[in-house]
Amino acid sequence: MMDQEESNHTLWLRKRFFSDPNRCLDLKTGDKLLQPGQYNERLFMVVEGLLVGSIENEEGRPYEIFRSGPGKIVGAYSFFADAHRSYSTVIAEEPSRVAYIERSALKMGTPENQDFAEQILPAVVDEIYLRQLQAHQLTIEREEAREQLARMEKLAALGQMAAGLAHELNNAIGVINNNAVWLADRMREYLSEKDSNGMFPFFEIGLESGITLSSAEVRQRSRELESRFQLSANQSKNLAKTGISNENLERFGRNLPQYIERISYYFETGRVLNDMLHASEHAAKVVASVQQLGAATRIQPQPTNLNQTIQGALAIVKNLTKTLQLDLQLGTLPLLSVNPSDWVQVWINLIKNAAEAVVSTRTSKGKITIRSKYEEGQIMIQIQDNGPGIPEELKSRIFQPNVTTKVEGLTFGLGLGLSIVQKIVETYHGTIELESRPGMTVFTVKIPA
Amino acid sequence: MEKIFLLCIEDQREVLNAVVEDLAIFEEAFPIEECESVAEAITVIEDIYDAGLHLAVVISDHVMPDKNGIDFLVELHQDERFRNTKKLLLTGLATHADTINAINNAAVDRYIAKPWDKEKLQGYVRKLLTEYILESGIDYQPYLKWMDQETLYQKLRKY
Repeated sequence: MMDQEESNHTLWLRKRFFSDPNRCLDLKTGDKLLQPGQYNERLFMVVEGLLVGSIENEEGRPYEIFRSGPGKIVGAYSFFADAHRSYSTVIAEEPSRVAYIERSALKMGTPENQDFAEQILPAVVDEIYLRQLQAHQLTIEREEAREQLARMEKLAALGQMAAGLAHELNNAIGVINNNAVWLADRMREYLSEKDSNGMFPFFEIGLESGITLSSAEVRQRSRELESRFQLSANQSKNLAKTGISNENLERFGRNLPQYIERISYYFETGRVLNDMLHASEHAAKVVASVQQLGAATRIQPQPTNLNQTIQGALAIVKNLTKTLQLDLQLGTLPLLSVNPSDWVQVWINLIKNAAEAVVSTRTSKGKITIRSKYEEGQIMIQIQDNGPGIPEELKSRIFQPNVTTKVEGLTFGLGLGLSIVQKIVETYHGTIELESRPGMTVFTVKIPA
Repeated sequence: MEKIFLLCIEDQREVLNAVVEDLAIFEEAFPIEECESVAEAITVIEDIYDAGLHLAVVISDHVMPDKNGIDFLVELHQDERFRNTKKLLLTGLATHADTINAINNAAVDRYIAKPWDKEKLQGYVRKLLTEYILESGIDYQPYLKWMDQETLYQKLRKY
């Protein structure tokens, strides 16, 4: 019934009722066949071309309610209703020809009239059905557009808030970082002047490296020192944290215990400054990634090949992947109307994530595979790594903010990254899935196209 | 004097350092174990138990890669051997559901938000240490210097 092609029935109807060459109208593009309130006693059938019906809202803005091509009936309402008044505007969208019958030509009670009423009914019902279908589709589209808008607004609001927050935090972090550097310089001067027992190098070790041993390694080293130099648990722990070798400790000989407090004092002073610098650097990185989110929401969508956004992302994270084997299997993709920076951000996060996972295994065979293909109305992009895999208990909440998978040191890991990725993917009605086991982790992004 | 431990778990090294530094005032009497993961903490806790020593207070971070701090404290609380051990949750992320979970399971004795106030953290640990010492029937005389006078007074009145 939805088919715009003429069925046998409409062909028959046309032949039977709409074939009088004297009851034909030729319309140019833009010609008005009917307008609201117009008196009408004709029932039209489109012979050629396309007619579009619309109603206007209070501000005079037209809303399309039907489009009728060859074989379709137009003017049914005003023809059949008691008042014979049209409720819509009907305009030819292209040069069109319509045939019609006059109400006055139908003699009431005659067999011919009876025949007309019976035969025209399915065509009219078909017409009503099509209009209703179009109304439903419009409602659904409008609802979807509204949801999309709400999502975009939410994301934009979040982005603006993030940008504002990022600006404020950057100022604060800047002050902390610069002052920590200043303080480190002053402390260096002060402690090197004050130093009388060769303690100053321990300050520098603390400032340059901080604590390099893990807490478990400190515990083990602590036990070693305790038995080797006959120290108390506390002394050996403080000494263990400095990471100073046995050879460097031997020079204190039997006096080592009485020096430990000084060694620790110098080391810890440097270590505290090192931690401050590290922490402010970490905070600056977090802020930068939040800022990206803010910036990405301001650009209008444009036709984009997602393969190019992958290449863009790879350019940005080049230094992360240069020691790895990179396998690109990019298929032909249709253009998608998107904000390209959104997708660059998605791939940056996923590639960064994969690179960090692979690097953490310290294997020389680190490999990242990126695949893209288009199939059955869907673009599918996969980022795969051969890292250690994501722990089972983490999988279910991997897309929540604040979840980290960092293995060591100050990597920001998945913190905010994956929650942002998921938000962006959802904005485009896409899905993101995770499959992970030791040696193979794949993030699969699917976007309707 | 008995050997009574404090234990801190925090996956970010800088933060762990800062917590331990703030608790340094207790270290003379209460050795502090530092752990960067829940898994590490569990082995240390087992060692303390096997050696027949005391574990007075566990200070745990909330969001960590291997296990959620609350889940860990709930498990620790359900372990008969560490019933008396006091649990303090240090968190940068206090969500409603998590808080309710922790309270319902009575797994957390204190809750402190990041960034924390040094004096407040020290005050909480002082109180929890005092409770642990008294509840475990340890001779508290040698530890008076590190105990919370008010808690001590209240508890002693009760017994």
